[in-house]
Amino acid sequence: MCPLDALNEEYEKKDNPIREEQKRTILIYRRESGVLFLDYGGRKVEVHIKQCFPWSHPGKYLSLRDLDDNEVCLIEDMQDLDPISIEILSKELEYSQFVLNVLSISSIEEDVELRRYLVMTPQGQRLFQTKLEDWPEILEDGTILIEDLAGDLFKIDNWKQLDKRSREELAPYVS
Amino acid sequence: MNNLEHTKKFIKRYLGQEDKLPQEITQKLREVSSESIYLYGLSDLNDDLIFSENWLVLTRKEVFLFSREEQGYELLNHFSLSQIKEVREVHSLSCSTLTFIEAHDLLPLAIVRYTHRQKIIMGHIRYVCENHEKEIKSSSLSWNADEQYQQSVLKPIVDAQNSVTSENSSTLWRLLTYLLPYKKELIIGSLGAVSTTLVSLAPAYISGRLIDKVIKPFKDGSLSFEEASSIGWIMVAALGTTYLLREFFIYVRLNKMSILGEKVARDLREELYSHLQTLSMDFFSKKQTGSIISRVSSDTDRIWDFVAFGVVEVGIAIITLVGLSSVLIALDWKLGLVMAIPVPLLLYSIYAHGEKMKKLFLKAWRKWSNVTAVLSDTIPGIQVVKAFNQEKREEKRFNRRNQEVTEEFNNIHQEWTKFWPLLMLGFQGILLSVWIFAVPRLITPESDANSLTAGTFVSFLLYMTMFSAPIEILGQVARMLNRALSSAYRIFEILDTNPTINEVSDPVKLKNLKGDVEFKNVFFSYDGVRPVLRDLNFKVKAGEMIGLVGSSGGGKSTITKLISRFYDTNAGTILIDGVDLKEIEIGSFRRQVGMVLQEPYLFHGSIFENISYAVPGATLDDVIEAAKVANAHNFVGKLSHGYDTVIGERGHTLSGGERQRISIARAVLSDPKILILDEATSAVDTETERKIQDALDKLIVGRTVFAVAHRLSTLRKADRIFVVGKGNLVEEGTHRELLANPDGEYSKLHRMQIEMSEQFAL
Repeated sequence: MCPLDALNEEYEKKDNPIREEQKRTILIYRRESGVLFLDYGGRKVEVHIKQCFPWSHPGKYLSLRDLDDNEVCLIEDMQDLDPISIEILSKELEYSQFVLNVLSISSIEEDVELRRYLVMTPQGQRLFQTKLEDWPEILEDGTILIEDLAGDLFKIDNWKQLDKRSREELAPYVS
Repeated sequence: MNNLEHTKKFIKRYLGQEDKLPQEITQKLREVSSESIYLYGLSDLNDDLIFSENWLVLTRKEVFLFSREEQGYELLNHFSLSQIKEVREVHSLSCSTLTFIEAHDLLPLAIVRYTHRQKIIMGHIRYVCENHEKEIKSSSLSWNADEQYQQSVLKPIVDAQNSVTSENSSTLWRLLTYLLPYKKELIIGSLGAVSTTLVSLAPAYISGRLIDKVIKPFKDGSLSFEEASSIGWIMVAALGTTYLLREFFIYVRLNKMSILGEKVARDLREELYSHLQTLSMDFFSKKQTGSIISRVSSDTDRIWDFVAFGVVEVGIAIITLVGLSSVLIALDWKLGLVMAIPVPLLLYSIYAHGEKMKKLFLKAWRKWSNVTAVLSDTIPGIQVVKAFNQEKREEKRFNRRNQEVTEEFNNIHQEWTKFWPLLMLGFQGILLSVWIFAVPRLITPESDANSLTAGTFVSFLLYMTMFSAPIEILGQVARMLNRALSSAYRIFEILDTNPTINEVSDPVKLKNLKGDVEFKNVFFSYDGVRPVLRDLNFKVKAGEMIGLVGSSGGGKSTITKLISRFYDTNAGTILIDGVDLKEIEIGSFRRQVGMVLQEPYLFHGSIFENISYAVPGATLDDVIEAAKVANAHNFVGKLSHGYDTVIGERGHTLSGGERQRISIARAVLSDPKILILDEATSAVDTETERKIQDALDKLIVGRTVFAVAHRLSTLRKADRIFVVGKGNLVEEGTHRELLANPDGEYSKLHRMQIEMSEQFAL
């Protein structure tokens, strides 16, 4: 069940007006087809989840959006939800939060206009490229994010805990 | 190596994934389906978000999902395209999911997950699955499934790198072939370089001989004063001559090679620019302007640098080192080896230092980019900084980054200031070794076979001073070569791009176009998959004005681009005066097509030159007449330099309306039979719009006109209006006819615009 005040008022007023008495329950559930739905006041909307702060507050401010990407509901803290909704959303977050964690770096080489990284992730080995002018992004907590040309994100939680070779390869780009 | 092999190689090199659908899957598919493969993509993540190799394969009727298992590929699932009611595509940070849904109360037909690398091809698959009835049955677009897969996975790399690079050796060889037309200069320049090196070896040798054969015998009394003077002066003259010759040969080398380099750069620029003119619009829409400009300018400049100095410097360095080593060993093999043996070590130390410096520079550049990021953030946004009183905060941010970059540059200075004295110390060490080996032999009586003459030793000392420069050059050859090859790749990528708009071998020359235009079953897609125009049919008679209206992305502008033949249709035919547009000579056709665009482009030059751009021989009267028709003459007359006013970049600034009227005058003067007006009045105020509209009203007379417009009021003179939506004509008719259908798209648009203007009036 979702807190009533999480509903996006603009969304309600503009596109889906519902009566006050219909707002008693707001449920998040998954249909047999695997698609996530939000039921509010008997009105069912297919939704997907977007995190407002995927790095700084991953479990907070979850925006549930309809097929046109309009926000239907903003959940301030997932922990405020009922256990079933938490379970459903947690599973959904696994996919939406998924990034490739870098365990080690075999090489970083420069190519024509590109920088090529060969890294090991829990998913397996990955070869990827960035533009030469694109540097790894260092977040406030020291987490390093590298976005490759296709848009996949590679994350290094603490680069100083990587093995010696990885640190040597990475140092010019992050230290 | 052909393109296909290149593509396969690059997929492996950059992506490390299969370059096409594995053969085993193709064979297994044949066992269960007689249909050919329509599209396929790789699902590289499984449900546990671990890298996997699942292949989603589409035929014209079914979808198959194969998975790689230990024993080979297995068919996991298959279903008919007609079962698919919806396909959900959800993108998240690094994982996207396609869910194939038959009904929400049934389990999904399939769920596939993949990284963003596979997103483009999976998007195509989704599109085809959702539109299979229209897309596959119509067979409007045909493609090769392998090419679709390969192009989509390589696209981010091709876009970023601007090429998929070929072999270094072949690129270098190709670059050197540009020297072939200038064999004479190349031979003279190279001879100059070789001669410089050889002549440079002579002074040290002569100096040694002067000591051994003149000074020492004279001191010993074995040579008379007259003889010593005579030989001595000859040797001094020989020394002088070698210095003169050396400088002459340096002049020959520098002069010939720098001019040769310029010629090669000029040839590359000419070839590049000329080739650019032949390329189709799709090339320019894919490439950034800055990237193309830098290839014509800075990349060719780097090539000049490489040809003029790089090739020769490296050649000289190698010749010098080999020559020096040979001469030294010939003079005295023991001392020669003392000198030559440490050379590889020195070369390596310079190389290692270069690598270390590269990393340090990398850090410094990164931090430098942080500094410039603050500048490019705050300078354009200085008003916001001041408005919110954040000057101090920005100052702190800048100072912090400035300090960081200073520290990095200090590290660089620490490194090189340590290295070069150490390297020199290494040289001194070699020198000292030579002394250590030489001194006992110098004081050994000459009768002893192991003795060393003072002259030979002096020659040695002088030769040693010539050792450091070539070692330094060779230590940096990799960096120099990489820079040149990188530029060569970028240049050759453009030269290797073929224009997509090609003329047939014996094209029809339409000298006097009437202006009939017909679209017959036209299909067009920019990406080869999602059609922008679908089975479009219409006929326009010469002299008709057609208004093109409809929502954005509906295909209005695409119609005008196809008429101008900026792109070719994927299927169907466009007929101009009854002749297939693809059969018509492009030049003769385009001369009779005019355009007035929303953002008129004016070149740097005078107003006169801009108006007469399409008709270079136009007279003053012609230009003034065209300007009058375009309502431009009056404002041009107000400018102090009149038609000679220089406009465009760095020139006089004109308002949007004035620029538009100059572009209309340009169109008037070119007297096109087919005229395209693309939102020509949308970027100006009402008063200017009136003036432009008035000019356009005069311009359209007697021509076939296609006018794209959002404001319906600008189409009041249109003979017919085409309402374009989702790639086809939704409605067609005159203004009155279309308004007669109150539920029609045109009526809706009309009502909306009236309501808006009423609200504005209130």
